[in-house]
Amino acid sequence: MTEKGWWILVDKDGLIVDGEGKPKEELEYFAAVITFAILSLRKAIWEEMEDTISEISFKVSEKGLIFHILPLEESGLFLITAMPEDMPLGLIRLRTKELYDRAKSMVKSLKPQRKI
Amino acid sequence: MIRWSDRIATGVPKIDVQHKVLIRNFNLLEERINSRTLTYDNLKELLLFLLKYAEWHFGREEECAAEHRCYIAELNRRQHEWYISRFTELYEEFKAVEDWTEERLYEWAATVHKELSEWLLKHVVRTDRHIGVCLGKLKREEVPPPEEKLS
Repeated sequence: MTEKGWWILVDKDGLIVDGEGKPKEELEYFAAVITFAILSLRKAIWEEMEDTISEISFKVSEKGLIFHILPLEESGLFLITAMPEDMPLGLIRLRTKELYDRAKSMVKSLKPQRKI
Repeated sequence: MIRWSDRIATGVPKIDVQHKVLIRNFNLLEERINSRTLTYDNLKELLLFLLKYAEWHFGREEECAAEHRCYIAELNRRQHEWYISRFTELYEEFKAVEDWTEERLYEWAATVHKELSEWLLKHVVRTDRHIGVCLGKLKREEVPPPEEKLS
């Protein structure tokens, strides 16, 4: 069964900053669990390889979804997208980039303004 | 089944969202026991997830309590330590048995579910909600007094 896509922007505590595509309660659960998974994976990679993860991709076949997880630089936030696997790859990339850019400019606007 | 309500909410979003994950997965375990869909493998996976998630969540919660110099911080840390040690002991016991029968597996899972989920609920109500008090989200009179021993 192919599901419709969804996305969330989460902080390091697993709280949703923004997102759409699923009922809020379900997105909240995903956010909390996936954040735990990302941070655990990141910790393991750092301990074994002394390196950081810049991107994580995986597929959930039964639901027909392709996931992308992208950290948003120093903000400590993560963008998590789930796109239908029957969507053309180019369109998935385009949509993910669009969401990433949107999240980046949102993070910028959240930063406190420097006093001159 | 544990149902989410104001009675168990701390009022601190990052803590509540993590408690909901633990509750949802304890409820999943209960559902599998009641619907007779438990297997050795799905029980092992669920127990390991609950144990690791609890460890991670406790660390987060302890950071939050320490950061706000909460009066409950030290008690909270001691209770977490006890729970992780008890959970680990039960998980090791589970792995050590080589000849699980279906009946024994269900019986063991039900006992463990009862012990671990009841303790967690008591801990959230009697200890964690005091973090909500420290952060100005709850009034002290809304929260039962803390207790050292919960089991």
